[in-house]
Formats: sequence, C-alpha cells, structure tokens
Amino acid sequence: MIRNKLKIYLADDHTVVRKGMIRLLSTFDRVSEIRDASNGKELIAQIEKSEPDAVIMDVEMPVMGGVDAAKYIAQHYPEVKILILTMHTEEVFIHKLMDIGIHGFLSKAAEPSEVELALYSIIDRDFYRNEIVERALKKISAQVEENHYVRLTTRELEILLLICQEYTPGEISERLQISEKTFFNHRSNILEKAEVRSNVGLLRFALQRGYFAFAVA
Amino acid sequence: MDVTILFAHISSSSSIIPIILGLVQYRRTTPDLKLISWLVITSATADVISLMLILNGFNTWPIANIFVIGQFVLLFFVFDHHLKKQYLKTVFVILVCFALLNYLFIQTANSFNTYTSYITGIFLILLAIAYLYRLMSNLVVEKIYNLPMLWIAFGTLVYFSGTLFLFLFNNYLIEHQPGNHQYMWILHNVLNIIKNGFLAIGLWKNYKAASY
Amino acid sequence: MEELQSSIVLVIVLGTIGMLLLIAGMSLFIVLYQKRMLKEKKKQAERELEYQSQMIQMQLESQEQERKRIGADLHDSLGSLLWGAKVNASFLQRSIELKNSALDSYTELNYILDESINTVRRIAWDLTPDAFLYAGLSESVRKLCNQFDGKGIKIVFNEEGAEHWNDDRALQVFRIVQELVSNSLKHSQANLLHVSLSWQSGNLEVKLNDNGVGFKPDAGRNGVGLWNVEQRARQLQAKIHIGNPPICSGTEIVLQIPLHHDKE
Repeated sequence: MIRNKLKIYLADDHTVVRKGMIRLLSTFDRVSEIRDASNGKELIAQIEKSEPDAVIMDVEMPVMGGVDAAKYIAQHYPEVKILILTMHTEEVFIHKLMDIGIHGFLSKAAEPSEVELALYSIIDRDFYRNEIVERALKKISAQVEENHYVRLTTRELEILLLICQEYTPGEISERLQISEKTFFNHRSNILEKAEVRSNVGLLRFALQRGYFAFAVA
Repeated sequence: MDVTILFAHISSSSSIIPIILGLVQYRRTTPDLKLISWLVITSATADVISLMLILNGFNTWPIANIFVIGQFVLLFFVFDHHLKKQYLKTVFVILVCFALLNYLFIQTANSFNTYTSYITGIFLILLAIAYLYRLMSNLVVEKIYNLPMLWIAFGTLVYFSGTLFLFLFNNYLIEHQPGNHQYMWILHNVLNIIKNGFLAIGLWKNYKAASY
Repeated sequence: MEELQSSIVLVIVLGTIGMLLLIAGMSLFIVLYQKRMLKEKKKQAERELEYQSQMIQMQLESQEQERKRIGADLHDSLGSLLWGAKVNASFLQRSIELKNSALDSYTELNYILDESINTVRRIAWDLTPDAFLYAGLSESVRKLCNQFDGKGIKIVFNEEGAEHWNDDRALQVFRIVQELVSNSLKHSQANLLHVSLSWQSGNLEVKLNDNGVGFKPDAGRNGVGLWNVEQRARQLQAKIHIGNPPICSGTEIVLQIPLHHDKE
C-alpha cells in the first residue's frame, strides 16, 4: 500500500524558507500537492478544508507555535503524519513532542535531502528514526518504570519488534502472513495497551520495557 | 579696685572675642548666629552701661531687667529657628507679655525682676534641652563638636542653670541675712564669662567651617 | 558674718559640683552622639553594600536575560534562514546538473552553510544553554570542555561525586567556569587545561589548572571578565583563589561554592 501523489502541507514563519521548501518538495517524486502556512493556526485552517497526508512544520512560529499545532492535529486528525523541522534539538523537547504523538523529527542542521527520506518514512512506516530521535530515546531506555504491568501476546510482541525495526505495514503483513487489516488491528491493540499514539511511542515503550534495544554502534 | 568691679570689667571685656568673631563673619552667617552676634553686642552694651551707672552711684536694675528680657527674646529666636514649633511661639508671646507687665507694674523697673528671670531661664533651659534632644535623634552632622549651635546650646544651658541656682540661693540668703551680697555678682559675672566663652567657641566653629 | 562665709562656701561648693555635673553631662552628650553616629554610619555602609550587591545582582540578571534574547534570536531566526539557504542550494543541485567547478562551488556552499549553522548553534548555546535546566551543571561543563577540547588545547574534565544541580546558582557557577575557560584559552598560551568538579557535602569545589604563562593580576588583560567572575563568586558567597600552582608553571584557580540550594 505504497502511497504516491502525496499531499503535503508546510508551516514556517519565514517566507523565504517556505518558498525554498516548496521548491524542494516539488522535486520529490512522490509529492504531488503542496500547500503552505505561516503559522499553526493557518495550517489547521488548511487541514480543516482538506486533510493532507503529512505536515512539515517549524516549532517557533507566531500566533500558534508548532507544539500547540501538533497537539491539535494529533488529536483531531490522527491520520495526518507530523514531521517537525526545527533548530531546537534538546532531548527534553523531543520527548515532549513524542508524547504529543509526532511521527518524525528533523533538525534544521540536517541535509535538505533528508527531508525526502523522513517524509517517505513517516508515510510508509508511521515514524522516522534518525540519530537525534535515537539519542533522545536512548536516554529514556535507561530509566525503567515498573509502575504498571502491560501484558502483550506473542503475536503483538512480534509485531511490536518488527515495527521497531522499521518495517512497513506491508512488509510486516507479508512476513507474518497476515492481512494488513489484521496487522492494523494488532497494532491498535498494542497502542492501547502501551497507552501511546504512534509508532514513535511504541518504540519508546519497547525501549523502556526492554523488549527492544538499539544495536550497539 | 573693688573685686566686684574687677569682675564686672572682665565680664564685659569677655564679650570682645565673640563680638569680633560675630562681626567678622556677620554677612555670610546664618540667621541664628546673626542673632548670637546681636546677643553678645547687647550683653556688652548692657554691661558697659551698668558699670557706668554703678560707678556713678545710680541704680542698675532698670537696664539689667530690660537686658534680661532682651536676652530672652534673642535666644528664643535662635532656638525657634531650629525647633520651629507654633506652641513654643505662643508660650513665648505670653512670657514676654508677662515680663513687660512685671517690669512695669508688678516688681517694677527699680528692683530685680526675679520672676522674669526664673521663668525665662527655665524656658530657655527647656529649649536648649529640646534642641539637644533633636540633635541626638536626627544625627545632623558627623562631628557634633564642630556644630556651632551645639556650643550655643551648651552655653545657654550652663549660664541659665547657673544663674537660676544663684538667684534662688540669693533669695534664700536675703530672707535669712539681709544685706548686700556682692559675691553673688561676682559669681554671676563668672557665669557670664563662661557663657561668652561658649558663644565664642560656637562662632569660632562656624568661622572655621565657613572658611574652608 | 561667720554664717555668711559658710553660706558662700556652700554656694561655691554646690555651684561647682553642679557645673561639673553639667560639664560631665555635656561631654557625655558628645560621646553618645558620636557613638550613635558611628553606629548609624555602619548601618548605612551596610545598606549601601546591600544595595550595591542588589544592583550587581540585577546587572547580572539582565545580562543573562540579554544573552537569552540574543541567543534565541540567533538560533531561531538566523538558523532558520540558513536552513532556507540550504534548501534552495539543494533545489538548484536537483534541478540543474552541476559539473566541474559549479559542482565544487555547490559543495563548498553547502559546507559553508553547514559551518554557519553549527556556528550559530554553538554561539547560541554559549549565550544561553537552554539545555542547562535539563542537563545540569556537570553535563554542561562537560559539554563546554568537549567543545573546546582539541582546538589548540587539550582539555581534561573530571568529576568527583555527582549531583544534579541546575538552578540559578548553578547557572552562575557555569558562567564562571565558562569565563575562566575562555580566559585560559585566550590568554594563557597553555596547551593543557584541567577542569575538575568535586562534590563535597554541602560544597562544590571547582578547580581549573592550566600549564600556560601564569596569571598576572595587574596586567589588566582580562579586567571585565575577571570582574564578572568575582561578582558572581560574591553573589554565590563562594571563595575564589587565583594563583600560580606551587610546582609547575601556569595558573590554578580554585572555587569553593556552598551548595545550600535545597536547604534554607
């Protein structure tokens, strides 16, 4: 279920940056439609008119910042993938965003070409795992909370681990020989049990519980 | 020469230093110290006139009594300049009226106006104490002994408590042993010399401070 | 006549005693006055000192605010704009086939932009470690040392004991360390700098050791910076000792900072 003809919305308060980003996005093969907004409020207004596949937004914006906008979008449009593109890379800040339920995080110090990678990754795999996110997640994995016990079935555990290894839904279904619908059923069960909203949340959950660990570099 | 006359001479000459100090800086001094200059001049004039009257065998009381009142008026204004209290002015007016009445009708000009002397003396002592109290609570200057008014207040305190004591004792003596008690005047003149000394210190401090 | 004589003696004796008492009273007045004056002056001096220290505190606070503002501006605005430039460069590279020197130019442009972004981030971090609150003193000092390590000087950081300290006072300590490290880099000509934090009960000892030319307090070379350090140390009620180490050459700076942050 690879989606092409992606509809991407963009929010950044610098007009020059927005213009450049639109140009760049238009060179991406799978992107077919781009709209832009100068703050969170405008972005949400655009989404209300017509839902995009993904939004790319900055954090520091006037009127309505990226954090509030992400909160709103994650709550009201769970199908819309959120990619945060910002100068702020503090770990605590990334954790906060992950709690909200964003799907990908990209630093403005990164290469522009990485935007394409990140964009496809959040569309196909529901999250984008890069160095920054990994570093932030590693910190959390150290502190294990035992306050509530979550029991997963073997199948759910299998699926969780595959998600963590960045397989797409199609690949996972194929591997486990189940329908994609069944996969999504399992996934939503896991999400509920882990009390998280997205695959990033699942990754954090798996790290915290010790189900999964990053390969030692 | 009589000892009494000798002391009278010294007493009147003791005003010379404060007079000179007062006149030298008269133009550039504060109103309170201008009044002090007038006080020493008045005092000296009264002393000279009294001396002349005594030498010629006249009664000195008419002039001495007036001097007591004049001295009271001048010193009151000196302290009033610092204390500035309306009720003090009221008391002052009443006291002056009484002193004049006393001079004219009660004890009359030809005898020593003891009432005037006591009452004005006590009032001035109280004023000096009130002034010192204010100094202590307000801490106006860093080195208090350089403040001219401190020495004026000290002089007032010493002179008027001294004379009060003297006159009270004199009254007592006269009652029990009538006669002319000349030594009282010697002692009074000693007090006057001390007072002039204090006033001179005050004026000198002011002169020194002003010349920096 | 006999009685009169004794009366005169009495008057004189009593009068003299009275006068002496009066003079004693007046002297006492002067003494008391001067004593009170001295006390008052002391109090005033204390008030002045307190006022001065308040002014310095305010000055340091406003300095911190200003740093925060400039840092945030740099980071958010300039950083974003540089990103915009990179995006455009990337677009050009995607739309036009770059060859030879044009490709070199593109590569160089990309490098310059990357360096600029890193510089902006570094300056912003120097100005206000946003992460300070989360990282705490130890982490921030470690990061500071790593940042300069290997750039013409070797910086060795070590820590004895560990405590997470991240309040305003900790930030002041960090500022002191920052200033001292930058002083050492700029002026000492040293090639080795040791920075150590040692957490003792209720006390933090910060020690900086370099092998440079040593410290000349009268040289006036680092007037403002050192003034800042001293003021901050005073605000922290810290003891600061600047001197030349006994054996080798160079400068040794030792700070003793009371921790009383969770008490009181």
